[in-house]
Amino acid sequence: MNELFHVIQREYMTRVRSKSFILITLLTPLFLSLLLLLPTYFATQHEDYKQIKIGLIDLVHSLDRAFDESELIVETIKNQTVENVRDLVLSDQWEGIVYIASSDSSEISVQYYSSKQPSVFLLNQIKSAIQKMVLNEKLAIYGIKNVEEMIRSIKESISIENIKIGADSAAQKASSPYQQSLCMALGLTIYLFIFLFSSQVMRGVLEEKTNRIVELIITSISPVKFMAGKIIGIALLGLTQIVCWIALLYGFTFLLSNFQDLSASGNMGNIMNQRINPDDVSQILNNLNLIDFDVIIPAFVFFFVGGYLLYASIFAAIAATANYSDDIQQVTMIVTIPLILSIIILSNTINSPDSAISYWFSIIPFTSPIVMMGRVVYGVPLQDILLSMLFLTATVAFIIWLSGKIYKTAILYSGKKIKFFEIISWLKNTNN
Amino acid sequence: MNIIEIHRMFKSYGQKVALNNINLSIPQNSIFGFLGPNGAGKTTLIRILTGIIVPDLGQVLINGQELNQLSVKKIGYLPEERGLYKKMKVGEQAIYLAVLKGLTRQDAERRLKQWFEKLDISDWWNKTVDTLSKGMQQKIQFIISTIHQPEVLILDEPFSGLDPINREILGNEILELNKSGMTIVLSTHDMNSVEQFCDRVVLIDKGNVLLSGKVTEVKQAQKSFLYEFCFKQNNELFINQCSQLGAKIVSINKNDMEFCVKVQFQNAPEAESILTHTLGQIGLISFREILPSIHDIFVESIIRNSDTTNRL
Repeated sequence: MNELFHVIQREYMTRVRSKSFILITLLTPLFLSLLLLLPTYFATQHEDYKQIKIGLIDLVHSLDRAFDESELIVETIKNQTVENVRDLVLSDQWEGIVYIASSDSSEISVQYYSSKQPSVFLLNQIKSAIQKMVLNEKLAIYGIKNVEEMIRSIKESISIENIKIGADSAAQKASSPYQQSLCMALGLTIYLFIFLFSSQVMRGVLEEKTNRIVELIITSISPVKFMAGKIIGIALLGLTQIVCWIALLYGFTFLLSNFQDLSASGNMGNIMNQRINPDDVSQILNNLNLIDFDVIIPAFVFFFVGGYLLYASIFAAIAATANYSDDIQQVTMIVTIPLILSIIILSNTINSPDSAISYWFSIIPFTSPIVMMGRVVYGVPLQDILLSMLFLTATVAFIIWLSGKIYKTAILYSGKKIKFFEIISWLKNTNN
Repeated sequence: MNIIEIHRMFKSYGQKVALNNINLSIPQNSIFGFLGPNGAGKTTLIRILTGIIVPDLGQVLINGQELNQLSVKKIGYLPEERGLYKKMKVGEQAIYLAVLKGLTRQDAERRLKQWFEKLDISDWWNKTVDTLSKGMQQKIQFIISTIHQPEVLILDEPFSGLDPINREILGNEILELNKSGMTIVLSTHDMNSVEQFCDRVVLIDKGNVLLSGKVTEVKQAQKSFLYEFCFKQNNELFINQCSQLGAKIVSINKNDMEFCVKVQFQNAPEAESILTHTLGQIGLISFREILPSIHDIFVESIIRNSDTTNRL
């Protein structure tokens, strides 16, 4: 057992201290946070037009009230003609001049004069203000007033609230949009974790085989124990990354929940304040509270560990049979098909978590780590989760045994390519 | 006393027989040469001795006890196919491999530093392996194979890829370890190494032991009654006497100083007879029996075995 501990320790420590692991662990949540914050930041940058002062020369006199509700600072310039526009623009009194020369029932001719290229946002703002005014005027001609309020009231009058009723508990309010996002996020995360860390096992085994250190090592520890040590060490690495990310995300959620305090005191608060309504934040947090994290977190850890052990063992056996990385590319692609299939099934699970296809693929061990993780978000009967766990555990035990048998013989083969029937004969041979 | 005894060892891979009823004894404190052509079964035998694979039939005894997880720790092994983690630091890696052999971290570090100082390689401790040459890496691997002070050290082609200076350094270390009581098993195709280091050999081919024993005994058993006689001057009489006895003149070398004839006899009495006559001849400077080299024995035995197998 001591040797096993040392192998686990080496596999874990050499990777956890690597710069790439530290960078990925710290930068991924930061990158995700930036993805959330950057659009907000850029949006605030585009709102610079609010501070722009523009002049309006309205020869038609029917649109001079178009900018009353606009956020632009607009000054009407009276008694001017188009000949004077050049001087007015160059006077630098205004950022630009909106010139409305004519208007008939089919077209309104508007020019914007400026010394600098205006932003698309500014032009859109001018266009939308004029359009709104024209629309209201035309609707008024047909006797329809307050059209905006009418549209708003129609939209607000329809709302669907999803109430789930369980046999053993009270009616429970669920929140589909958040569940859908979480279902996809958890499914993709577990897919990425399984794939990334299983690939690390494969690369490690291949490295040890190709650089010939393995024969030196397996005189001190049995091949199967060595393989197990590698798989466990990298699993702990994965769990470390998960714990770090959960901690960082909790930290981020904590910051989000306290953003009202922050908004009062800093620039970041100002940025967020312009985009996020405090009521919306409290709505997000309420919806997060409705999701059963007491089940999701242990299930995530179990299905990650189970799925990882399953695929890491297969990848270890594949790598042991290879002499070069090129040898394993095609086989690896075939083995990862169930993982890719799981992601396809997951898109169905999002819309109907209890459909037959979602149910069966959440029970089948090669797809269950991802699909069941997606279903768990919506609340799954405990017996379904236990059945899935049972099948996964049994399959993992069988695959580890099988991979161990292949690994311990194949790892010593070098030079010639191992054929499939040779592997079958090893499995039949009790001494191997 | 034998430190390793192998009884009726049989191992096959599918239809291919790798070891066929091998019986072998390795005396304590000997330097034992494992000889054989590629694919003879040497690596399979070594892997069984080191517990990497198990035989289909047969028994391995270490100090009279069956090979098990505990007794296998008495064996150190430098495989032919060897390597190290390229991106890991030399010291850290050596400690890891030493600890896997059952040493505590402190013991491993202390012993390794002694070895590094002895071989004057202390400045490699913090270097990564990929910055070292093949020969340098080989020294590290040699240290690792012996760091747990095993009773038996199995070295598979330890000199391959080494320059003459490093070869001599490693050779001296092997002799020193042997003097300290360690039994050395040397598997190699380098027959000069066998002549230089081994006191006993075994020749394996196609999974069978062709010959084994002390180097001197093997040479005696394989000798072809070849003698060299050197005279002060040309000696036609001697050549005629040999021909009359049916001996074969293998070569004649003449120079200003001497006249040397190599003669191969049919058997020992024939050789003794001519020796009796020659001793009385005037002008004989020297005579010596020429024993076959290990290289010659190797080649002849393998060819003979191949002919026998083909006939069967």
